[in-house]
Amino acid sequence: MIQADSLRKSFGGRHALDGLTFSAGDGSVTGLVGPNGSGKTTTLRLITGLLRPDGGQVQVDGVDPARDPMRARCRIGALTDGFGNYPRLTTREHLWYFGELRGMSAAELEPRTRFLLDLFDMHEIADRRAQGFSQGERMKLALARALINDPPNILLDEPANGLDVPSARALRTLLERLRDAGKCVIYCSHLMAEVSLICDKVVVIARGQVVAQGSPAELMRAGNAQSLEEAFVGLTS
Amino acid sequence: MNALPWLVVFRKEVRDGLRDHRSLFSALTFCWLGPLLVGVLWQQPTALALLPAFLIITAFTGAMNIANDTMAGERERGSLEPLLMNPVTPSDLVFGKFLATCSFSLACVALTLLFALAVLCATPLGGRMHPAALLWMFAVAVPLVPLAAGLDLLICTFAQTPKEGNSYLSVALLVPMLTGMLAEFFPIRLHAAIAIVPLLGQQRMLSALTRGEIPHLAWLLSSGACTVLIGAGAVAATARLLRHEKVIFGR
Repeated sequence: MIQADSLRKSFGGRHALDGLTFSAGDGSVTGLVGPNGSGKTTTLRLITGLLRPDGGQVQVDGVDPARDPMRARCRIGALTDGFGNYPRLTTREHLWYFGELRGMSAAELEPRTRFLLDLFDMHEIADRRAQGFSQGERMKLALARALINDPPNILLDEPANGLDVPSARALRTLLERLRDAGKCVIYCSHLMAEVSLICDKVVVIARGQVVAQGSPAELMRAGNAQSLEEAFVGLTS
Repeated sequence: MNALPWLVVFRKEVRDGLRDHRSLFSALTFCWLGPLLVGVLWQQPTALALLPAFLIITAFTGAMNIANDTMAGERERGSLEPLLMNPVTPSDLVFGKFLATCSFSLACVALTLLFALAVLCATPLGGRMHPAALLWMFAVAVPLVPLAAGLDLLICTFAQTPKEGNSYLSVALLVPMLTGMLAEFFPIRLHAAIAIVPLLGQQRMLSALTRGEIPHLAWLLSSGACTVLIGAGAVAATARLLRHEKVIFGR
């Protein structure tokens, strides 16, 4: 479970977050949506402890990442915008590298790698170098890498960007599985159609603050809108 | 048993670096170019004087590409952020990268000396400098490896892309190049105070070895210690920088 309480963060006098408060529960997918520069990525960086808040606090399963980033990071798997794969490493080497960095032994990594290759249907690219992977393959690799130690909390920053229809569907199926497995998933996106299909709860951020939160249906009702996109435009303008 | 984090990073960087054939080719070019030039110019009385300069430059060029890829490259492909999101301290990350960079630099220094050995054996230059002096040269040049690796990593921490890193590194490479060249044109007598000056001390000792003079062991050790210390300082500074938001995200 992830809780953000009155988070504040400024960069050179500009408020990126200004009292942001929300919670993301276990066994659910929480969408973090907002216009460009609204503070979504900053929020994710505060959750992983890469940034320190100017005020407020984050709790990752009761651990404050600003005080104990190593413990918090053990409980988080994150997929960043752009995926950040290594072109000269194979899929299997990526998984082992990140697994070992997360303190896993070879005995643990062997079955976990097999499981993730099965889950993401990546056996064909298991021993291929990441250079030349399609956008969908790159996303699957980055996501598998983030799940290597089976973390209870998963952060996804724009995972569906540039994905074709089959890859986007595969991502949706995967997120459903993660939710069913009791994971706490935070899903940042601009794609409102994806958000309304995937997320159980949506937190709308604008100018560093939460302007609305609830299920997609609740937000549409509150915004008197026919779609989440329409509700989003009404809430953030 | 779980592997130590810095060892995991080291192994990955070495594997990754060995697959970067373009960078390997460019680093290896410096290894044979210097000794080859010495061999071509063997009739010149100052032919051997080129060897120290090339050896020093090789330590830096051997470290350059991997340091650049491992720091600025991480940024460009967006892998620095996911890497730092792992439960690993910046010190472990930087130490692993540093050791990998050292390995490549050390391999280049050793290869340069092997090529030099081939030149000494194949030309009459072997009569002017005993091939065993190359072992002394190795001992003098080894401390340059952590210096080059540490400084190259530190410099690349400020670059957003390998292209930017390359432009910083090529300017930085002027320091060992000019030290090597100027020290030959304006010879400074080797003594204890000069020996401890990084680059200059090594250059003077290497130069003495090409003339068949063996430097004092105390000079060799004190010079090595000072040089390694600066390299270690650069590594510590890099690890410290990776704790800063401005450096991680380039704000």
